[in-house]
Amino acid sequence: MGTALGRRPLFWAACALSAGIFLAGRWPVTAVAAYTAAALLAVKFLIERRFLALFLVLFFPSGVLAASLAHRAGPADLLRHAPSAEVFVGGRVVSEPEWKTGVSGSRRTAFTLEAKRFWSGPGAPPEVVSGRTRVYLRDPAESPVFGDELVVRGDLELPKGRRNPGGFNQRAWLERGGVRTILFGKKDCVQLLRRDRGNPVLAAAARTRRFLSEALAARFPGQNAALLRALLLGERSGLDQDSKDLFFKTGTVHILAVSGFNVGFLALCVFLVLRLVPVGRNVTTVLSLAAVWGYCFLVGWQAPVVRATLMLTLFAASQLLGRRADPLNTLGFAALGILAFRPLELFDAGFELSFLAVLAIVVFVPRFLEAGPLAPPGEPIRLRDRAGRYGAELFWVSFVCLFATLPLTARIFHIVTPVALLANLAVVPLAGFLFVAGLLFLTVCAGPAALLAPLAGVIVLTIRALLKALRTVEALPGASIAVGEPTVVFCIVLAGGLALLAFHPRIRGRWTRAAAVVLFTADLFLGRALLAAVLPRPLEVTVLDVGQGDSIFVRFPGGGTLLVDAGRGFPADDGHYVVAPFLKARGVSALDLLVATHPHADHIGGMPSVLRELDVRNVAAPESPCSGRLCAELGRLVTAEGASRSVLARGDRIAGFGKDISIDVLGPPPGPEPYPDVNDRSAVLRLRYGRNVFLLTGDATTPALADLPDPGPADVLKVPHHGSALGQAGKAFFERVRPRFSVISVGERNPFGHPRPGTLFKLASIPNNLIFRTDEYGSVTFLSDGRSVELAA
Amino acid sequence: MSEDAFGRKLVASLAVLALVLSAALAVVTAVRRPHVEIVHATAERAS
Repeated sequence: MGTALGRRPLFWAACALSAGIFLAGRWPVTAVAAYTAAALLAVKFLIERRFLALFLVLFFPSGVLAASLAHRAGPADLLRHAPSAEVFVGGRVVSEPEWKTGVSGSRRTAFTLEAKRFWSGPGAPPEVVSGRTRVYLRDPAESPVFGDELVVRGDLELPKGRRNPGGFNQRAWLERGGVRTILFGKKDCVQLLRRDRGNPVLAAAARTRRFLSEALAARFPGQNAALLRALLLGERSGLDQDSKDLFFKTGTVHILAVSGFNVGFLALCVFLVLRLVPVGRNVTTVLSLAAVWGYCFLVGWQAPVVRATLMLTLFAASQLLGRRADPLNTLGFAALGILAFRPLELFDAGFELSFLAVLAIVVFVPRFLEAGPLAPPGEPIRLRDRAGRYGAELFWVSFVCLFATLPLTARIFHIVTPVALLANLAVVPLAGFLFVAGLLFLTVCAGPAALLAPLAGVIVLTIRALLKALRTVEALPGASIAVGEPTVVFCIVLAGGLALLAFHPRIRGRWTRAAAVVLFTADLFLGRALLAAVLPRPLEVTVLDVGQGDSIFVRFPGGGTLLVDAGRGFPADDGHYVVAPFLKARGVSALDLLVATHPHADHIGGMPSVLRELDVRNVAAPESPCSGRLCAELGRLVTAEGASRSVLARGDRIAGFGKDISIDVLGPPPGPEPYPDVNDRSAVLRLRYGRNVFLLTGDATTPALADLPDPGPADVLKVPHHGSALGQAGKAFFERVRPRFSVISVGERNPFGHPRPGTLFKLASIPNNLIFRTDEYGSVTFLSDGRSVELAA
Repeated sequence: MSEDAFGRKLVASLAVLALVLSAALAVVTAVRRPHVEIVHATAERAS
């Protein structure tokens, strides 16, 4: 240990700092307690004269302290005013605004505002505040840019944590950037005070980024420009979902994140160019480093680039000093450099994957790659040998990165991409070429058009080749497999097994070792899937939190899957951001039946994303006129998916989910327009499993409820129409159903005033009825064994 | 005997296990896969 510490003090210091940050983020470890423990250890090491250990022991409490400070808001933080409606917040834009455009042409933007002033309402005196808030605006009259000073009128809210299993944790994501509140701007809510008030150096970087983005947008069509922006500048917001999914499903999404790949190519390019100029090797190294730091600055200090730049700097510095840098020590230096300034980056997937991949390359690649000389001493190296070595390096680096990061990627993204190895062999050289060509284009983008046209043509052809390669790989059977969310124990067993196989002294050949790694991983995932398939499981009904909308997922004991509605469309796109991640986290990649209760956007808006991202076998909906762009899109996707379509009406039954399962359609009556209001034409489903009954009512209101055949008592009621006013018919309906659990799927501070106090009162007057609101509780899951229903933890 | 006999035996065992597991999973999945059917209330609507 002493030797390892002595050779790699920075690596172990980074481990100690990370452990401190991790523990402070997970358990209530105070900095005082950590420093006390460290002080006791320090005394021990001092007595034993182990000075290096003494030095390292201080990093653990420093991690605890850094994380505690990062979690703590200042006394004047805007946080203490949240939540509050119709307030004014003045401050400076400190991030480049991200833009999104919906199918209707509506534009949304989001940016971070460094708050300085706060007004609780019109005419209220200003208060001095601090802290950052994330601002969301819809169709703003002004287009804010980095460095603008402005006042925004809107509703100040606290960000939500994880609302759905497998879903996005907005609070944690924002906190990593020091943001603790969100501000939803009202219509015409922005008053621009001054431009260019930000840090002049950062503003210059933002301006340069904007200029380069516009240069790319002016020369390249739509998604080509967006792909180049992602590849060159790390700006992914312009990429459409299909393109992102293509990279994601082929395990090549790292290409879209600026990282060591970009830094390496940039340094190589500058180095090779400078070798043509008669300057010394040291000058070449220093200028290459300057270019890399300039790039790091340009792309806004994204963690993977900072990591690669710090490592490269330490390597170069050690070369200049005539010393040899230890790769693990260098990696530790980079981690310390980032975590000292942004300790919460430790919990960012990009940071974790970037460091884990490099750690794996350093530790495991030598176990697979033969590193002998390419030619005998004195003989020239043949091009074929050089290319062969490059190909072998690329293959083994991809192999090691794929398997070393597998436990983490499976847990974070719930997907395994066996084709990543193949995809990377094709994509990395193409993306490398594209990066170099793109850099060349950006360097000369102000030049004459005649000069740029051939270069732009080459770039477009390369993009086409890259996308074609990815689509070919994506179409292969088993290209990506949804594996659900593995437990921590499973991930530890997987990681431990892979490490053991990589180092086992009795496995000699590298191909034997690689085959063992592949087969062990396959066995573990197959065994897990088989266990999940054969072990008895309860009926599971989850009412997802999709804001002011509906989406209910049912998994049957036999494994069948049913989704009733899919939440809202753009810009929320619950199908993509809530439903699909939830299903993937549950290991569901196919839906046996998708039911659209009625054609309103808060129920079917998320369906296009569900149809794109999952295999849907059957689709059913009541007969109801459905026109407009959303319905046309849905019709096209259902046809493309090859799903069978059925019309639902009162008296129908849905069969096939198991012998103890029955699903009855209680409404609406047959016919195209049995009621004037579309809400009343909602499909009302009664799901029975053994003695338990679940009643899913869509948006049925008073006329439909009054007309409904007696549903009988139910254990769980999805309250009709987000808890709107349902009158006496609603009261009579609740008394007939007498639910034990009532769930209201409703959005926080929705403009309709749902749920209505009268409806809440009627529900509360039902004896032994527990009421859940998704705006307060998030998603709610019920489990049934056919005899009793219980709430999942 | 080859000096990598242990490695080969290990790979062969893991491969056999993978075959057995994937075959079992395929059978279980095929047997348990639901065949959803909408049973309409009237013959008129079913047609």
